[in-house]
Formats: sequence, C-alpha cells, structure tokens
Amino acid sequence: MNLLAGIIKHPLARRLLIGALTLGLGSAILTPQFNPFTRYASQGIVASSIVWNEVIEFKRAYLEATYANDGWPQDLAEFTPPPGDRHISVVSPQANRLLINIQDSDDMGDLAGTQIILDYRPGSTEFDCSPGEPPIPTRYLPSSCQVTEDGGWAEPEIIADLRWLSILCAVVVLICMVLLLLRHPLLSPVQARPGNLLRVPVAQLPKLDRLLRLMGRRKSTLLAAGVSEADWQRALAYAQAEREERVAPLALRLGAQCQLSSGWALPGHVYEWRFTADLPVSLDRCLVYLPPRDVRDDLLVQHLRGVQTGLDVMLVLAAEDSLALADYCTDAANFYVAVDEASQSEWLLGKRPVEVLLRLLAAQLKVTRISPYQTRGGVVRSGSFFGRAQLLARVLNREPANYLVVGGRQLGKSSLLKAVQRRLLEHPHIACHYISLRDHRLAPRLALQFGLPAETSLEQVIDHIVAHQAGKRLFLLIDEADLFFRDEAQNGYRQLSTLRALSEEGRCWFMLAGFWDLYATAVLDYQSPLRNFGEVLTIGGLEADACRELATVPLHHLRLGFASNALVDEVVQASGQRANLVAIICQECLDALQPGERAIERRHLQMALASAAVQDALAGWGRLSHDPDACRLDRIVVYHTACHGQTSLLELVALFEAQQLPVDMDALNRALSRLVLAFVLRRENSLYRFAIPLFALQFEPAELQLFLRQELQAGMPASRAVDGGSRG
Amino acid sequence: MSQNCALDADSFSTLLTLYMRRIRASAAGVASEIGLSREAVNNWRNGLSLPNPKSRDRLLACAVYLRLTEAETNRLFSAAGFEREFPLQGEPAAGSPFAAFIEQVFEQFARLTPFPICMLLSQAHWGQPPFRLELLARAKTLYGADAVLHIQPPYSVSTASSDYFAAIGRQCGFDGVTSDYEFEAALERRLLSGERLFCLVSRFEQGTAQLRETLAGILRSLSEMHSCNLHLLLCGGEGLADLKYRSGDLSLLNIAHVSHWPELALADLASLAARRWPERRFAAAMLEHLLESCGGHPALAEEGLQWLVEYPEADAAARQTLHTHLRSSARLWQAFQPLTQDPAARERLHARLLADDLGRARPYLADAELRRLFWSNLIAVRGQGDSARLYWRCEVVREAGLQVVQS
Repeated sequence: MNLLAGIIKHPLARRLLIGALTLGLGSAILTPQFNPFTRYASQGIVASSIVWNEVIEFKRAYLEATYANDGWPQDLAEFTPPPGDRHISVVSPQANRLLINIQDSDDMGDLAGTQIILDYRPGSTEFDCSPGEPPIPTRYLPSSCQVTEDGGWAEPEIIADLRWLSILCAVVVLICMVLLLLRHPLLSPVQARPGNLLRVPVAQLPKLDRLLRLMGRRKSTLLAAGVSEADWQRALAYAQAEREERVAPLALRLGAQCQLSSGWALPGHVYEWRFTADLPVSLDRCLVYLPPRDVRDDLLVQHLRGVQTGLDVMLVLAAEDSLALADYCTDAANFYVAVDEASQSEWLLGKRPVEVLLRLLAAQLKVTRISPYQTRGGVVRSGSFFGRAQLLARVLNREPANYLVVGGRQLGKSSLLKAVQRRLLEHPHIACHYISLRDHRLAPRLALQFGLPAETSLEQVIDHIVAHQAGKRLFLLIDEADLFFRDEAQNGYRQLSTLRALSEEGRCWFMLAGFWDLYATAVLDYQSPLRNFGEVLTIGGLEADACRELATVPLHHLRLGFASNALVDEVVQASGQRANLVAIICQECLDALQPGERAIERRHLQMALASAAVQDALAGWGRLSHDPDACRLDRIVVYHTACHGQTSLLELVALFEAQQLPVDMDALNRALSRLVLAFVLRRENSLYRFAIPLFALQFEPAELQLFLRQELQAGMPASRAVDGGSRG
Repeated sequence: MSQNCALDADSFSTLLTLYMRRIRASAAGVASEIGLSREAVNNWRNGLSLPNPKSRDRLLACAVYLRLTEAETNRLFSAAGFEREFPLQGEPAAGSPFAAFIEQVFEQFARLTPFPICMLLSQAHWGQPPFRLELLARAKTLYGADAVLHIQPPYSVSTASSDYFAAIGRQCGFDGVTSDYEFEAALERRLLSGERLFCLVSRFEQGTAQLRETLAGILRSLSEMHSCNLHLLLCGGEGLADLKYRSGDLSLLNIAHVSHWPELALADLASLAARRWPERRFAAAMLEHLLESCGGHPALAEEGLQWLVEYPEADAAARQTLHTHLRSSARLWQAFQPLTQDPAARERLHARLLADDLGRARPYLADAELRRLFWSNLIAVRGQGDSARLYWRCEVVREAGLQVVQS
C-alpha cells in the first residue's frame, strides 16, 4: 500500500502506472488476442465457432447415415465427412454416442484438448450434448447443451458471466460516480468543511444544490453550514434571477432602502441604498452599480474611471469576477468596491451580512472613509454606543418619571437620550419622541415637529400627541434645553409648571438634557421649582470597561485592532474616560495607520495624542457660562490648576487675597462646580485636578503665569462673578 | 461722454451709493457700524472725499456691513485707491489652485456622518470662504446644482428676524419666507423629500447674536433630525472661531469639524499666476523667491506677482527690490497700525517682533493680541499637532511691523 502510495506521489511513476494500466485495459478490450491475459480466452472464442461448425457437419453426416440405415450405423468411417483441415476428431464408442475430441493446439485457445459428448436421441434429429473428459468449458456449449438436473435448460455460463460483469460494471461505475462526486471541485471543499458553502461563488450555487441533492446530503450540509432552508432558497433564486432583480435581495439582507438612481453615464443600472443607523461605520448611503452582462472587463474599468460618484461609495456587482475590476477597486484612492461572487453568496447565506460588507469596504477603501467611530454629536448608531448601563437601567426599568440629564458639552447627554429612545422604540405601552430644541421655545418646536401650527399651546400639542399614540404613555426626550431653562428662569418658570402639571396628570413625562443653566437651576438654586421636577442624572466619564469596548469593538468590525491591551488602557487613561475623546483618539490612530497596517501601535497612538483633532476637542472650555465674569473666574481656576497641578478652594481664596481682590465664595464654588460638571476638573476630597490628563498638556508653562495675571488684572472682582442663569 | 460714464460707474461714490441703496442702508447706519461720522460717509457718497489710507479696517467693516461679495469688496477697495482686499479671488478654472484641498474638504463630509458639519476658517485676505466659486462649482458637481445652497447672513444689527430669514430664504430659493419657522419648514421640506443638500454658509458670524443663534439652531436641529442629508460648510474667520471656542451655546459649532485654509504652496502660486496672467511665463526660481518673501500671505503674493509682471528680471538685485517692495506694502502697514495705538500694546508688539518664536499654536489662542495678529494673517502656524508653533509669517512682515512700531 505504501509502495503504491509512493508511486502515486511520484509524477513519472504515476504516469507510467496509468499508461500501463491503460494499455493493459485497452488491449484487453480492443485487441484481446495480443493481451497475454486475454489471448487464451480470445483464441478459444475464435476456435469455438470453427469447432461447432465442424461438429454440425459431422452431426448432419451421421444423421443422414442414421436415416439411411434406419438406425445408428455400425461403421461411421464411411459416413465421416471428407478429411481436410480438421480441428476435431470424432469417435463413436457406442451406438448413438459421439465423442468430439478437439485438437490440442495453441491456436485453439482454452478449447485445446477438451472433449464434447453428443448423444443421439433415436427417432429424432436432436443430439444432446455434454462436456467430455477433459470437459469443454461450459461457456462454449450452446444453450441446447446446458440442461439442468431437473431437465430444464441450464443458463449458459456466459450469461451468468455477463450478468456478473454487468453488476460489476454497475458497481464500478457507481463507485466512480461517488468518487467523482466526492472529489468534485464544488462539492469536495463543502463536504470537507461545510462552512465553505458560504463562499461558493453565487453562480455555482444551483449546480452545488443539484450535486448535494444527488448525494442526498443537502439538508445535512446546510445544517452543518448554519444556513437555513429559506436563505438557501433565496440564494438559489438570486443566482437564477435576472441581473436587475439581484440588487433588492442584497439590500434586504442589510435592511437598506433601495431605489433606482438615474442620470448616470454608465451602461447598466445604478441603484442607491440608504442604510439604517445600525451600520457600525460612517456610511449612510452608497451606490450600487450593476453593469450589463456582456461588458468587457477593461471597458467596465474605463467606464468607472470616467464617472463621477461624488462622495458616495459605489459597490460594483459585475456579472463575473474580473481581475481588472478587482485591481481597480483595490486602489483605495477611488470609492469603488467590487463585490465578488463568493462575497455575494456569503452576503446572502451568512448570518452577518453586514460583516461581509464591512470586510469588502475595509479591503478596498481608505479606512478613514468608513470610520467606525462617531466623534461628534449624539451617538445615533446603536453599535457605537457603549456603557451607561446603570443610567439606562434607572430610566428604563422603572415606571415613567421625569429626568433632568446634566453634564458638560460633548460628554454624552444626547447619546444617552438617543439610547433611551432606541430602547423604547418598540415599547408596547410607551411612545417616546426625541426633540432637539434650537432655542428657548419649546411649544412651537414641539408643535412643528408634530405637524401643528407654531402658535399651538403646549397642552394642545401634548393632547394631539397623546391622541395619536393609541393609549400609550408619552415620554418626551428634550435635548439642548439650556436656552429653555435660561428663559424659564427669567420668566418665572411658566412652561415648566405646565410640564410638571402634565406629568402629575400622568399624560406625559419628560427627560430634559442641558448643561450649566439646567444644573444651576435644578441643583444649586434651592428656590427653583425644578428641584422636585425630576431625578437628576449627571453625565460624567464613561465606565472604564465601556471605554475599552468603545476603543476596540469598532476596530474589530474592520478587522483592525490595537497591538496590545496596554495601549487601549493608555487611551482610556489619557482621555480621562471622556467618551468622545476616546473616539477621537481612536479615529486619529486610524488616520495614522499606513496602507496595509492592521494594528495600532504606540507610534500611532503618540501621533493621535498630539493631533490637532485632540487639541481641538480640549479647547472651548473658556466660556462655560453666558456670564463673562463667571467665565473669567473659570479661566482663573483652570490656569491656577495648570500652574500647580491641582487647586482647592482655600488656595484660590489665597490667590485672590494675595491680589487684594474681594472673594465671593458662592461664585467661586459655582465656578468649581461648573468646571467639574464640564469635565474640566475632577474633585478628589478637597482638591481639584484636571479630569483629563491631556488637558494639562495644552498649556505652555511659560505662558500660564502671564495668562493668570492677565485674567486677575482684567478688573474682575470675584464678588461680581455671578451666574445670571442661576439667579433668574 | 461714454468714457466719463464708465469712469463714474466705477467711482467710489457711485459704487458706495449703489451698494447702500441695494440694502436700503442709510448713511447714519453705515456710519454707526464702522465708527465714523454720518458726515464722513455722506462725503464719500457725494464724491467729496475718499477713505483715509489709515481707515482700511473701517472700509472693510463697511464692505461687510453692505454684504458685499469678495469681488464687490475688491471693486470698492480699488475705487477707494486701496489694494484689493481679496486679491487672489477669481473665476473658477480648470486646474485651480488649492484643488486638492477643496477636494479634501468635500471628502471630509463623507466621514463626518451622522453630522456632516464642517467649519472652514481662513485668515485675512483669503476671503470667506476663499475660492468660493471653486467651492460652489465643486459642490454642484458632487451634489447637483439644485442641491447646493449658499447662505450669506445679512450683516446689519438692526435687521428684524423676518427680514433676516426672508433674505436667507431668498438666497436658498424659498419664496415667501417671513419667519424663522417658515425658513426651517421650507428647508425641511427639501430634506424630507430625501434630497441631500449642501449648504455653504459664508460669513456666519455676521448679524445679531440672537439671529445668528436662531440660524445655528435651525441648522443644528435639521442636521439632528435629518442626519447625513444636510452637509453644512460654515466659512468664516476670527468671528466664527470666537463663536466656536468662546461661546459654547451654539452646539452647531460644538459638533462641527474644524478645517483651516491651507498655506499657499509654490504650485498654488504658479497656478494663480498662470490664471491671472495666462499669456506670461514666470520664472520658477522667482516664484519660489516670491513665496519665501511673502511667506504665503495672499495679498503680498498678489502684490509680488504684479511686481514680477512689471519687472521680470530674476537677478539678486531684483530680488532685493522685490523684498523692499513687499515690505512697503500698504496692507501690512494698515494691519499693524491698529495694534500700535496703545503704548503698552505697542511695546508688547515690539517685543514680539524681536522674538523668533511666538509660542505654541493652539486651536484657539488665549492671548487676544496674538489672536489678532493671527487672524490678520501676520503670523502663521508651522508644525503639526502639539509641536505646532507660531512664527511671523515672513521676514517682510516682521520688518514692516518694526517699521510701523518705530515710526
């Protein structure tokens, strides 16, 4: 066996073996007389007809003699046919019996030297024949000579042989077919690893389906590959569909809206897909190009070179996989993405079609084009929202109530509101709406959003919304509410009273988000009616584990990652666990990756931390209140903290006293609260330090004293630093 | 006679009267906006006097108040005997300078989802935005001509909300807009139809704070409700930067991505020269020398190009003459002049002019004087990220500043 395996492995030996086998088998079938294994039997077959011709001649002669003599002649010699080139000799040892001796020569094959016995049946013209001694092989006996023991005709040996041969052939053919099937280039990889089914080119799926049916392994293979029958049928229908009908099923798998796009100078069809917010990368829509079946590869690429896709990514679904197209699309300088046939299958059959799309995008576009991070604004993609589990649980796992979400800018207030909205979207008993205020006017904003005239009162708007929600309780999420609260504080909280009344009546609950004006009103002003309006949820840094997820999970979508966990921890630490800063740092790391690089290393991180985007994210703290004096006080606190690495109320008082400036402890406390809320400072017992370690790096030590002196000298007595919003 | 008419049409008084009449501005209104007396403005209108060369900043304020485009501003400045304020502005053409940057600006929108809001900041003499026609032309190619809106908020502090939004509505092609809500509804109707709109907002910082906040609120709110479909490019200079970094109330700006107009490169300068004087060939060495001398200052670059047209020699003496010519630019003198009024400020400026390194560059400069120098385009940022530093734009600027301080 080992020897055979060795021979098979050697190409020359394998060829020789195949040649020898072919020669042997071919000569046995086509020229058996030259094949040493079949020559004997072949000669026997040729000789048998000669022998039986001669036998018939003798039988006829002796029958005539029997008729002439009215019985078996005494002497056969006179009736024997004239001698010639005979191959048999005949003797009659007794009456009515002939012994046919076949000549013992090479050219008689396996008949040589054998004997046939013929027994005459008196009164008839028939002879019974039987093998003599040595016996003639039974396969050369005519059927009339093969009589069974019970007197019936025996089946000729040749017939039995042929039957066995047929069965053997059938078995061989069957085995060959099974072997062919098992070794089939389509079937074999799928049988070896059913998971390969997902990557079979889509055009081959119908053929594969036939083969699997033939093998009776379709069901088990689909099961092993994790493909449902419905998906398989859909994929088969896709493979057999007209090209124009192929776009919709692919879009459906992603939950994307699909519509025909017109006005393109391209042969074939162009469609536009609009993705849902669940897609974990920054791609809200893309174009899908379906070239005609008969367009040549080079012409297709020429067309693509000439077309202007704007800012949109264009997926190209070519009729067949094309190397020229793949090469062109791999160039990350353009926005084209070729969707090969194997990927189409995986798209249709796999459990995660989005991952297929992301893989194609990541392989053929600049990673930054499809950034998986959202660095600005409220997070709208569910896949980009991490952490805040406790806050969400406090809101979602209770009966509806009013909430006031307070926190600095870009800390995640809007993201929290949007997360609440996403989770309540399909709630059977609660109708949840998100509204972003653009100024202090709540009622007109709500009215316009729900299709009512701007002058509709708040109560009427709520009545209208409740009436259209079919018994559901109303939960309104109101973002950017600072201007509203500032205006309310100045006007005696008229609208706020209405909101309170609405929620006390059980008609509607509110979740309002804002920064300082809301915080100052809700927390610092003891006379404010907002104090008991709802529970205050303070938004600060993200949980450390959530920060790590925020940094790593989006990268995994694109099959990228950090070189080590230590780098992830460094990102979390440097960002002070501020969510959008984590995202910005990671985005900058992505920007720093060179083509082909898949892992973010320390050098990338260092570039990211020093980037303009990170610097920009840390700026803008200079005016956290609309009161200029309060802002100046904030700046004094920040510069003092930057000078000394930390600060405290006592140190700040000492600073003002050293400058002979009066101190308003309330204003100073407010400034510290404001800076803590804005995530500029973090309080540790009585000390305040920067909440974000990177924050300290934006100051030039030589300039700090100058800035501090300038702010102190700007004629700002601390006693004047009063926050107008909080005082109403 | 016809020649006289032509001359009259381009005279300062005629242009000023035309531009004032267009927005129904009164002499008193213009005077209060730019800090001059009503008589002085009336003298300009009546052709009795021209603006004082020291009052360039006031003429610029006047142009802004009258909502003039870059081309109109240049025309008014020329008529007043001043150098053009936006010298490098021109008609869009193939192979435009800064084409790569303009492309990059639009590419950014694709990655800024779900809030494609971008702020484009530019220093003095670049225009707001620089190469507006090129930007708009590129936007029309990418988004379709109908999907490109250009908003230039009215300047006047006295404009009522209804007039303000009616004007903006007209700019967007919305008829009959009389309030902020109507403007918002009209814009939203277009977004609801599934259209993706590109909106270029230039001189965003103009107008009253309240109206500006309302406009910002509308744009922010629509961006929130129709994320990805409203691509906003907010263009401006010092005022816009102040709004972003010093006033946190405009969350529109908080979530905007900031881009700065890039420094002038040799290829851009060559392209500008070829576009302005297509029949002329400029020696590459001389262009390189000009770029080094002007430090990428757009107005100095333009003055230098004009000088090269007149004196095409490229020897050492010519280079020295060019240097001297640029140093004596009226624009530099006019830019430094307001910074030397206060003796203490003059002293600090002098100290800075003697320093090589002006400190660390940051997204927003805390020092008001440095900030003024930066936005006046006298100093430039060199380096990237946290190693970026501030330097005098070029030796010509520094020498001119010293001359002003010592004069």
